[in-house]
Amino acid sequence: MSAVGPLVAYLPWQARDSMGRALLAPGIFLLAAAAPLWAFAASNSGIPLTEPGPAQDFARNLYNTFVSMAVVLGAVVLMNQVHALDRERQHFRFLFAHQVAPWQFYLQRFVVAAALFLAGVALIPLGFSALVTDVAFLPTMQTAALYALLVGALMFLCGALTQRDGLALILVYLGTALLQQVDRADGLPGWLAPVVAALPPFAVAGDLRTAWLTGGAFDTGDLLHVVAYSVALLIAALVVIKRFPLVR
Amino acid sequence: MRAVSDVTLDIAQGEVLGIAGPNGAGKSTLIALLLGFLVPDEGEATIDGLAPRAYVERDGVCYLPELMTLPLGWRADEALARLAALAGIPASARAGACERVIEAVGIAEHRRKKLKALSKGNLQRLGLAQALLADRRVVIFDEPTHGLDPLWTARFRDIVAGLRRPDRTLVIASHNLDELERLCDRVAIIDKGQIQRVVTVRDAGAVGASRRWRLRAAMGLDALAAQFPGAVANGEAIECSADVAALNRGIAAAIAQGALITAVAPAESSLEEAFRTAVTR
Repeated sequence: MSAVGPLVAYLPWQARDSMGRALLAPGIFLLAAAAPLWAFAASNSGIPLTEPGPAQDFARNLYNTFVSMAVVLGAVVLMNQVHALDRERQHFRFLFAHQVAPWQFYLQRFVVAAALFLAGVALIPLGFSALVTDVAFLPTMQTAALYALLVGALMFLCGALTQRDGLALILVYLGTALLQQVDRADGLPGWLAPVVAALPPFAVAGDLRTAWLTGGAFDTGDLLHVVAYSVALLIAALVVIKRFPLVR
Repeated sequence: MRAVSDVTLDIAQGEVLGIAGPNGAGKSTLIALLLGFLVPDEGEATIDGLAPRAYVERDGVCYLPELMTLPLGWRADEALARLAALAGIPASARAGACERVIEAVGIAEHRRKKLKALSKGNLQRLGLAQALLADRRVVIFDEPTHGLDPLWTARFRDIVAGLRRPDRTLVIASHNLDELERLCDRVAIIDKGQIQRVVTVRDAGAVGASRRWRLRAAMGLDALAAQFPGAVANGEAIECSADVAALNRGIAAAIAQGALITAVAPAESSLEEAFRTAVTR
């Protein structure tokens, strides 16, 4: 069994390696939201965004739209090309000649990256509330945590299984979105039901996100479904890293 | 396709074992198996009775891979600091350990440079430095002098000599036979994924063994050649086959006949000879 000490000692480096990715979500939000906000403010001078009314509604709708996008994209890059790149570029030969278990190393990376991602996302509602208008902090953070877990774990598993983890995630996402949309609209043949049920619950996560950001009600069962699925993905990724050889 | 098959090899504690073979012979695959980066389809590899990964995760090893594949955006001192942390060197001793290896491989002036700014030789020295960070009982070097200049190749030999210890096992993979012959106790010659032969380097040059010699003479080359049936003249030298006793007798006889011998040397090293026999291409 590897010692925990080296991993603890390596924690600052894990944080440093995750820092750029953590700042991507607020960066995306800033880039996406700044122009429409500026345009709106320029064409509606005198209408305060801080007062209840259409201007504030516009700002909050804009926030909800772009924070969703920023959180989802931020979660996608959370674990993109981490394990896969270490394998492809053979970094592992240096990292794992020491008393470090690869699965523990990458679990630490996931936890650190997710924590920094949440810290980065926290800048969005705080900044928006300070500079534009009040938005609820907790729903954004709940959304970010859910996506970090679901999309981060899925990317983690893709990276453990294949070198092209980003492509794998896109294919899984598109395939899942297509099947789940068809299933919700027209219903799929019965034999496809287990397949749809086994796919990542992107649609359920989307429902939760919408409910949280708009202040609507959400189903606790849906939340448990997404969390349980994500934890299963995470465990699967760790098992793959532990069982599969690093040289492939 | 199997990169390595039917390999049986015991490496003793305190031993320096060389692994020699042509490019693509399976040397690096064998090392990947020893480190648990690869898992054998059949059979097992163990270190100190443990599966390689279990051993590495328990005790760690000093390992210099064939290629310096650390992220090129890292600085040299940063790379060492990171790997010192992973090597379990306590925070209080980490800076000292990094300094020690930086000095040992002579890269002090390059410590602040990013890896992408280092020459091939300096990268290799950095690789050697990181392998020397921790005190381990298992040391594995894969093509350790690849990219090093002659000065640092010689220096590397001194470093390996300093690493020899009764409780430490060194494995050095290289296709530089001269290097292996100087450093190792035994050399496993691998080709086409199989161990073709294990040469105990000391025995290969034993007194009783017949081998090829190159003799030079300023005078009396014909008298010298006459002492060794089958000798082939080559300019001012001859090449002949003889064991050490026959060689001495022949030289003494030639000198008695007026020959002036200027040089006596093996025509090829004993390991080269074994390698040539074992590796058929």
